[in-house]
Amino acid sequence: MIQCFDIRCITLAGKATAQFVGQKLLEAVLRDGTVYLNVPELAQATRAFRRNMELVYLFPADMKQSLEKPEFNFQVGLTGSQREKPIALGGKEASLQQADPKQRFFFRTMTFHPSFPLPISDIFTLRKSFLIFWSGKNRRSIGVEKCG
Amino acid sequence: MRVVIENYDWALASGLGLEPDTFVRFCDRGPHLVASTFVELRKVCEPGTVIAGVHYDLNFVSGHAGGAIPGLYGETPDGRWLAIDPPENCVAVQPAWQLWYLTAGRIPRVRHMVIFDERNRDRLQQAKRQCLGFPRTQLQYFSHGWTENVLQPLSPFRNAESEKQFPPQWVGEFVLDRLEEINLLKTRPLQRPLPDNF
Repeated sequence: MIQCFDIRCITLAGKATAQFVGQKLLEAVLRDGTVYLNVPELAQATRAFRRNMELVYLFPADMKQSLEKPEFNFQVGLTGSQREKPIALGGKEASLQQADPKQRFFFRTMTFHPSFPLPISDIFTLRKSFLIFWSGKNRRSIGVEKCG
Repeated sequence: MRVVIENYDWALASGLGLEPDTFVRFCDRGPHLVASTFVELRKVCEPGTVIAGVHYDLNFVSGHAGGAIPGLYGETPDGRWLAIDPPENCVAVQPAWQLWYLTAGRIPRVRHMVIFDERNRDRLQQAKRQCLGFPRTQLQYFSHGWTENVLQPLSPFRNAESEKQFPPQWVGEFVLDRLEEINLLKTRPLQRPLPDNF
């Protein structure tokens, strides 16, 4: 069975997720040669965002950190396109405090949104200049999946 | 499609422990190719008929868009043949010759072929009854290393044996060599040797 990867977990991955997915991808390539990449509309949206806009990533924090700082139950990272215009290269250590007030407000709004994570289209309509992505501990749920 | 392949390159490089943009940089400015292949299956009457013989792609990584009529098969590194039927919204991605070379064979190059698949028989009969054509089209994307890059195993894959088996050469020259081997090159441009320090 050829393994299928969701491109979202690659396109929007941070360093840790990219390594995790990369290893899974490598295993699949060494085993089967061919892999499938699932390309939802998000890939296209991401491309547009990469050209024009800043990307904002939200990552669920470690459980320990969440417990200690329940008000910041997401790690926050700022970056442009990770490949073309890195703002915070090397991780997502930029904190809420470092973000400008508008963004901070936005983060808080999003992190406590009752239906978070929202479908990506809803997020677009909420704030068109940003793209929100959540990953980290949940990466397995959006990462490697089987099809066929 | 380019975005898809670049993401694949990115993730695969990460998986290999390389700088994530290693392959993307190698392919930057490469003469990538989008090609739609077409065959009228009504002219190919017997299941098993070979439409495209077993071959390796000479480029870096190949992407085959999903949704095509069945018929594409790919070989696994251990010699099994798998039907490559990427679903809608999916792309089948296969490493090709240049990636194999760059990794001194660590990443396999995938042999593949297109045949008239048994699964198409009923649909073909139906098309014949209705006097309709039965075309198989597939959109493909072939990423290439930049012509002016040197194709040789990356340092983690380089050793005395791999240097012998995978000698350095310009990507452009490598492509011309492959085309010449299969008689698709009418006139060979002047060969350009590598600088002495290689």
